[in-house]
Amino acid sequence: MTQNDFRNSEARLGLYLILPAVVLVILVVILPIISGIQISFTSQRVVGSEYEMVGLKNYLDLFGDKNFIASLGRSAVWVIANGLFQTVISLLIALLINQPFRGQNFVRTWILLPWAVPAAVTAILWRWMFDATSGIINTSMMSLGVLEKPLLFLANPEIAGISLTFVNSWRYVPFLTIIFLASLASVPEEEYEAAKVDGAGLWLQFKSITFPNLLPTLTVLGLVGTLWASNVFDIIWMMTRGGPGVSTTTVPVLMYDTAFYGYNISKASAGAIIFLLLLIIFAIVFIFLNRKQFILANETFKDLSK
Amino acid sequence: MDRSFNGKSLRLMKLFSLTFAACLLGINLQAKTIQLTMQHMEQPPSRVEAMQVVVDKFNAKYPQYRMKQNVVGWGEAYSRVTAQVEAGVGVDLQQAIPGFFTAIRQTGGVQPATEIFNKVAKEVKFIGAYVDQYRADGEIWAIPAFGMLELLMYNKKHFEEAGIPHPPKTTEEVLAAAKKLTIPSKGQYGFALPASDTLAGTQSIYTWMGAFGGKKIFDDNCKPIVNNPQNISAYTFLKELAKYSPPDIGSYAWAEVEGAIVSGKASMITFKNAFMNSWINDSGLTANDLGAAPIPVPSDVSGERFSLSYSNAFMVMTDDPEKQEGISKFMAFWLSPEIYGEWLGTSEPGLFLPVTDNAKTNRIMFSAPVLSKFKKQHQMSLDEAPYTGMYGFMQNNYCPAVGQFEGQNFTAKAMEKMVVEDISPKEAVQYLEELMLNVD
Amino acid sequence: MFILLAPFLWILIASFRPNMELIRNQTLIPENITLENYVSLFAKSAYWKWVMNSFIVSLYTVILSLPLIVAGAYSVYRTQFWGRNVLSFFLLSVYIFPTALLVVPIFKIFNSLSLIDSHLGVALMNTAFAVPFGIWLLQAFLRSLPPELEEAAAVDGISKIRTLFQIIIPQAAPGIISIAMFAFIVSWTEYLFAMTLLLSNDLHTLPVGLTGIVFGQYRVNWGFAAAGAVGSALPVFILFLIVGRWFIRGISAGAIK
Repeated sequence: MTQNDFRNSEARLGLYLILPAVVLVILVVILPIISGIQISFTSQRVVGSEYEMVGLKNYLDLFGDKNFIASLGRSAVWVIANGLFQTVISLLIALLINQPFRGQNFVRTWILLPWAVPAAVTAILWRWMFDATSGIINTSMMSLGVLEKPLLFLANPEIAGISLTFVNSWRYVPFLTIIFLASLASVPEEEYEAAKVDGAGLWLQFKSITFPNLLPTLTVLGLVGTLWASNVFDIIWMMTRGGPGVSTTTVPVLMYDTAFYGYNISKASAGAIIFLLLLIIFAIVFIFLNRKQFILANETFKDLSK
Repeated sequence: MDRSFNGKSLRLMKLFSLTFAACLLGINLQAKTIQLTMQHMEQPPSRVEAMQVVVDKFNAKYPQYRMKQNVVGWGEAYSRVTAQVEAGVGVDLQQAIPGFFTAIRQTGGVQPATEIFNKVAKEVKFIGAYVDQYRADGEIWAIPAFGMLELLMYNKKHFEEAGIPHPPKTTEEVLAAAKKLTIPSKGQYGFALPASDTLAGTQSIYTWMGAFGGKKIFDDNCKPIVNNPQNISAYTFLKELAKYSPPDIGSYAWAEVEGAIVSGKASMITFKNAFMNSWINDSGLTANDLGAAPIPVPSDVSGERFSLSYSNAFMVMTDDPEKQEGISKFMAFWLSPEIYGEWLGTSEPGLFLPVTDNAKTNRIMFSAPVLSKFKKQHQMSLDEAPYTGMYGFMQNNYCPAVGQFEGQNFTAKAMEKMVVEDISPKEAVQYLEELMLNVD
Repeated sequence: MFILLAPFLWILIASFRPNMELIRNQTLIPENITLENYVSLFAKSAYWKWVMNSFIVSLYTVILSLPLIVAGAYSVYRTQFWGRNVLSFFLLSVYIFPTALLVVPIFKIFNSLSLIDSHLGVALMNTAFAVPFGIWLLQAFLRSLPPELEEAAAVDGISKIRTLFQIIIPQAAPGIISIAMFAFIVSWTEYLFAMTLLLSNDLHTLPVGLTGIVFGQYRVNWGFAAAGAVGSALPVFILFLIVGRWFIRGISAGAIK
């Protein structure tokens, strides 16, 4: 009887323990995706309206659609920008507040607050703060002499994406920081002590102790974070609706617009499926390239069953 | 012991049978009341409250019905309603605007409402223009409930300070006034025109297109007819006007436009007269300082007196005859003078316009607390109503492409392109035509 | 970090200023302090009802998520079975499809399960979104637990299940609190499914109610929005103060080796 064999009671237990979660995911995600795939092969415009089967027409249309290809590019830029920015900032903050200081506990609790505010409220308040003529950012920077003319944070196509990245990061950095904090806390103190005794500076400490210990966390966040970032929709929609022009129209934004304002659910489903396939490919490649880190995260203690 | 046991069990049985009878009675009574659900997108609390007043009064007057209101946001309305139709979940009365209606109709869940309309029309006199937007294939598909339209709203104090004696009557005067009123050092701009890819943009821009004579966007064969000199003039005008607007109008939606006029950032806007409450609370000025004027037209009479208006109506989603009867009673009740007048005056003063032609309704409406301060402005909305229309509903045929025209903000997209990429008005109109031709 | 907290501070200040000030250029120090935004929020809107509903939904979410996450983490991390790795990655598929397009199929599925217009339905959706990442979060924590306890248990012949309940869970309590808080927040700000699945106004949660006022068509009351932001964060903050002691202990527990 091998270890993985289900006649082994441990293996059965493992399966049963994870089954409810799997069933939930199937119900909530897989079934709708299947429904989405079915719709994508039709010409249905509005849910419930008449349609005919059109095979791959929606998919072929999308591949030839400049807007769609462009939005893929924008999504890629969005994911990379957000991923890098949020990871670096969160890590820095985590490192900073990991050192004990007065008010450390206070900061560690308060820091979660941007994440606790509903997206719509966040969106509207940032629109208010970004306003060119009465928003605090522009008015204070102009009165300090940093700016001559107001920055059109949301009306200038070139910087709209940056503004949104900033707001999106504002929402998620607190959460990531906490995760990094937890990771940092699991690094044994002794290693740092030993390094200091050896005379290693901060950077060397970081490179050889901190970073390797963070790697598993970073890897998983890299995977999940990419998935999350690529599907961000609410903040973008509520702040710029994909504009100005199409400068912030990422794939989810375009699909939402196509489905609910272009009244073309079948095309939108096809686009979502294409995006889904791309993400799956990314995930598989990512997991393969980083399989060492993932095995670390999925470690088993073989000796336990002996 | 025996006796007490008997006594107890006897009492128990009495209790049980009484409860059972009460339950039966309750169930019976329940079965007699017909549940009705209305669903609408007027989320702000004052509107929900005002609606609840109507609903409560209705339920009190007609105890055989029990009406309930559901609220959903405009952003989620489409997915929720289509999901409800797909799943067969009951919503009996669903609010719609013409574009939304064309989309929902395709789900197959909307019932012809001609009979119900006729019943209600026996009791209230409808203004024809509001009904027409819901006629198709020989039937009426929704019961109008309230209308909205756009006016030129302006800050009288600014006009006084700049020495402009009267509100602009022509589009040339608008530009001249806007120029005079734009004082960037004071943070004041002549106009706040939403140039963003939003419904705010779509509607404001169409209003001006109509004023310049371009109100018809389709011909009777549903072919786009927007590439014409009138629209080019309109877009030329708009491009000029954008110069006298705050620099970030490319991201302005309703909220920013309203904020601009109330805060004094802008002296003029095209808007529904919907912010009476905000004006009183936040402008620092009195009601008399808010001016309303008809939309100006080009001085060479190539345009026409026009504004965008649309009828908000309720579609009938159920085919149950008892419920339909209840719906006709409810609509007739809601639109009856006392109820309707009070509702119009309190729900969102100034925004909702009567779809009925009734002096008593109007009188009650005008006497509501906030509205009574803005009598002149509100009366102007009523006066302009006959000269208004809705994009895509001005030809003899029903053109489904209007759904995308509105949903994807074609007019606003063209404006945005013009302002941000600095293309010519001619190119902007061509772009608008392209968008309409590429509707798939 | 100043950049992180400064906007929130600004919003906090804004919530005490009359809207009149906020629609114009604002000075750093408020010219007028007012409580009117909070009055509108606490007294004139259905804030308390929404908070109550949000609490209920979030509580359901936590109650549903915890067993799934604990079981899942233990399964993936401490047991071996065929397909284990695949399944653990499979769970991440929850994050792969745009949520907006899930709405209509979910509505149909939930309707056949009678979960429409019910807090439980929304909680179920939130659970689905909290569980996959929650499992990974807890895994990381489990990994930091000393294995000797489990080894000892195995040597003693205690079954895996009993090990789970009697040893792992008590040891991992701080980590479990952390994921409970994670699940709570995921549910607290969720808007899309709450808005689509909850038909009756009386069941609406806080994001739904606030968005309705703040985004409700033409309104522009930034002061109210600011108060709304504070009002959304406050219950969470209070909750975290109470539970946070465990959380902090949980974070620093790993450091005590």
